[in-house]
Amino acid sequence: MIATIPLLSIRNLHVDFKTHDGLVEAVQGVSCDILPGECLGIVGESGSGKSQTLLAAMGLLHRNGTARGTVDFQGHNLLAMSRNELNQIRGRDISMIFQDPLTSLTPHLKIGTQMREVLKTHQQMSGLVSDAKCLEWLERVRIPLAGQRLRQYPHELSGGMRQRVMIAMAMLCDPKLLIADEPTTALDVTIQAEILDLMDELRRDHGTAIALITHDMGVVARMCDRIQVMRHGVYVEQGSADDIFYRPQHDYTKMLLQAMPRLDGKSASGRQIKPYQTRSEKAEFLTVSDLKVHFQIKNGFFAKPAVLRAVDGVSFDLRPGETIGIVGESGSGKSTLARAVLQLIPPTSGTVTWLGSNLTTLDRQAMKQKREDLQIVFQDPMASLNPSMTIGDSIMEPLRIFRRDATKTDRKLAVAAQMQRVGLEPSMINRYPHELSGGQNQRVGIARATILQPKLVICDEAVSALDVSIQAQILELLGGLQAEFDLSFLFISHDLSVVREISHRIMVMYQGCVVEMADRDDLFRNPQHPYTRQLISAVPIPDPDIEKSRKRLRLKGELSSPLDPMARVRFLPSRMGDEVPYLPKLQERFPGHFVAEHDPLEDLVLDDEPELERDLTPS
Amino acid sequence: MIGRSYRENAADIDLTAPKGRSLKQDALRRFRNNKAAMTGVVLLILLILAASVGPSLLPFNYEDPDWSAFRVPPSIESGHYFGTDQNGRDLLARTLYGTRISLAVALVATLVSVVIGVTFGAFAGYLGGRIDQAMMRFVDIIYALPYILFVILLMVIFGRNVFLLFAAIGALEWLTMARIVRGQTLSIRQREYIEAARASGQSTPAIIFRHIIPNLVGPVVIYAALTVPEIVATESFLSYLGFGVQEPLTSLGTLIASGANVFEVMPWLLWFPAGFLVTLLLSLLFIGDGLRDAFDPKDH
Repeated sequence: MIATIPLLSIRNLHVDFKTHDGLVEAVQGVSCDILPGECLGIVGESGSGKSQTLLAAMGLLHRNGTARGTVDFQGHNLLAMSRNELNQIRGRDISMIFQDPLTSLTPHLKIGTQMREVLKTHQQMSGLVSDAKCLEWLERVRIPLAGQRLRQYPHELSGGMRQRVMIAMAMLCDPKLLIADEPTTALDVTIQAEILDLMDELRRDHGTAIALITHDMGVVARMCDRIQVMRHGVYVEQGSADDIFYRPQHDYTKMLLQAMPRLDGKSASGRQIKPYQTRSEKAEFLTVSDLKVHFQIKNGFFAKPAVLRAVDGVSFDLRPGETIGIVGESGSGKSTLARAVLQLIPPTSGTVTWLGSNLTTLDRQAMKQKREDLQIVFQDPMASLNPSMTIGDSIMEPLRIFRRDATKTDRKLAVAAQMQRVGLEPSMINRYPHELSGGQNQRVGIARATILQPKLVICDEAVSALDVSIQAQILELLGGLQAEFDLSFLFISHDLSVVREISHRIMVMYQGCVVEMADRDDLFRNPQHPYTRQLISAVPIPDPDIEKSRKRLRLKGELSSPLDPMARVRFLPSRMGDEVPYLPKLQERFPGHFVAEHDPLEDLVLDDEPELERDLTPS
Repeated sequence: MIGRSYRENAADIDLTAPKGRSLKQDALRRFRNNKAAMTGVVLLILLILAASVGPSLLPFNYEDPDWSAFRVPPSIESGHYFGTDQNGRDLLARTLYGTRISLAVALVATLVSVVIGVTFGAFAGYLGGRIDQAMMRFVDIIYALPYILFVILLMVIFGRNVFLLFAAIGALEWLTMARIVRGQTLSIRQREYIEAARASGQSTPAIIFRHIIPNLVGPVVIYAALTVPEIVATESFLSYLGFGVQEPLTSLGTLIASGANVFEVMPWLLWFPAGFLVTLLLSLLFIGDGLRDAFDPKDH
């Protein structure tokens, strides 16, 4: 299968950008080959220039960028070609799929129109022949009701469907090379697993070479034959997947592999959280019972508003010094739950009891007093800081509200001490957020949330926007703060491996409800609910041997709209015919291990699955 | 409590930290590198200097006729560099004085529109919901009423006081500013740092004045810079119609209006004030454009 003549060979490619702050050398002389039919992974953290390398090769650089070097595709130097010549190749011989499937489809054109356009441009195909070909490809990427989809607009499809359409469009002309730039980063894990399966299948069936650009070592382990590791615009290491994963040479590669949290708990860094010690005193801390947050969605002036049940009857207790991880895919209501606990969104019903007082009934002023002990850290470190304030001022904000009697110098000293505590140089006190890196800004966010030494900090996807190496440092910082101040965390994330690293107990949410809740180790060793099992089986593990031998659990049905009252009985199809939509109840199946009602797994698995994999977690 | 616990390790903390580079300083630096905008700034400063100091340096007054020189074309010998008008008044003195009035009027009106527009828009945008609806419908209603009708009404109320009239025009100009600011606020309100402020117990006015308005500087400055020429033009238009500044007081608009009547016999009476107005408008527009590029570098 591996031919000796490379399909695409990049030699000594440089990419420079002219910016207001001078010339930025994004790519500094990289060379690589892509062989026909192989999958080459280009791995690196943000800003490493991994995307720019291939964008430059395709002639898709931003206007202020210039590329030097040669990019040879079947005897043509792509960099020396005119735009017209390039257009002959782009889309026909080389095609691309991007990270965000919504923004890479034109919103006002129907799927069919966009697909037919590709065929018309490159193969002068039109009419019934072209319709048939579009339909064939949509079916090949396993889009249900493909004929109907051709007449739909991009916004009518879910994220996973849109990415499938993108792949179908990219494959229409049978390209020799498919460039996938973070194709699954914006998608949920279960959908990611399906898209990766699909790409792998296409590569095997059609011999299409794939250049996969990603930051996720797990995805690479699953898909790639050869890997290039990129950092600061140069390739630091290249080799076969086995070489990179089992015999990494460069320190950076080793660091990347170590920093990556692993679902199987085999993280090489040896990071450990302090096990939770049950306190003797029965302290009332945080109790959430039957919390509901419903939104009214208006569909026009006269239409009856629909009810979106973002959080639908969630109950749990948090003990002092404990971390509960809340996992779920997009739309599962985990962020809404966090905001409802903090009363940033008023709950529709249910109670939140904090140290004996019911927060839902407090007035504004009384609630304000409670906020001293309840803090939150957000996902996007840049967006969570006021860009026109210095980071010192941002960290000082809580002191301005709750330590009114402290003098200015005292406050400043407190801020400086806090900055040291979270690993920031106090000399950066007068800097602005845009002068700092994402990881540093996240430390600022954490410093602000912990300066009053609160009792509870909610981390809403606090490490999701960060590179793995930074992610590891922030997790360590959070663990350290917890040990020092006996903090409790509600740690919200879509990433199971991260949640596994930091949580004592884990709660899995689906469509606004808890489907499973258990101790960390119980949950991973003995997952009960089909959804949990599906999630666990979908997360890629950065280990090629394990990855290639694993089987995915594929369940019937797709993540449907939370507006659909039938969505939550997806795992209980025997109750689907009920007049009143049934809400599955949590049952304590083992001590401390709660599982929502569901039908037996055998009834839920997709039929084309040859055999049911019993042991879903790798040993 | 915080004072005591942190004082202990205060010795090794140095508070004379280096200053950071704020977004505004960045914008200013980009602005300084913009040649067109800097030309605009230089021209504007020259115009302001000429308008404020110029009239007192001239031997002629803007309202008293020079009995020895009626309808004199521009000449160096007579001392009337811009010529004189039908009444023997020095055109240079009148033009400079007119520029002064036009600039002052624009400044007052813009200031009024910024103050009202920003506060109104930020509150409407942040409070949202029904309050926002009510506030913005109020804006829509005023928008829908004809401008000229207002001016005539205001003339009746304020009489002949030029500055009050233009303060009142500013009080109409704020409508657009309020809409822009509300739109911006709606997007800032979604940002997590606003949520962080709410989560840490800040009051609503504190959030609006500390966290929202400082981040509106970019769009507000840009729009204000573009409002100034608009008001100068409005003033000229109103004066041309006879609503604005009245004789013997003058403004660029009135000068152009009277110059246009006699353009065929005394063309200089139109050319000089028109040249000043065009220079003033162009330099303000260049500055506005430069500010937009400086605050929003992604757009080009």
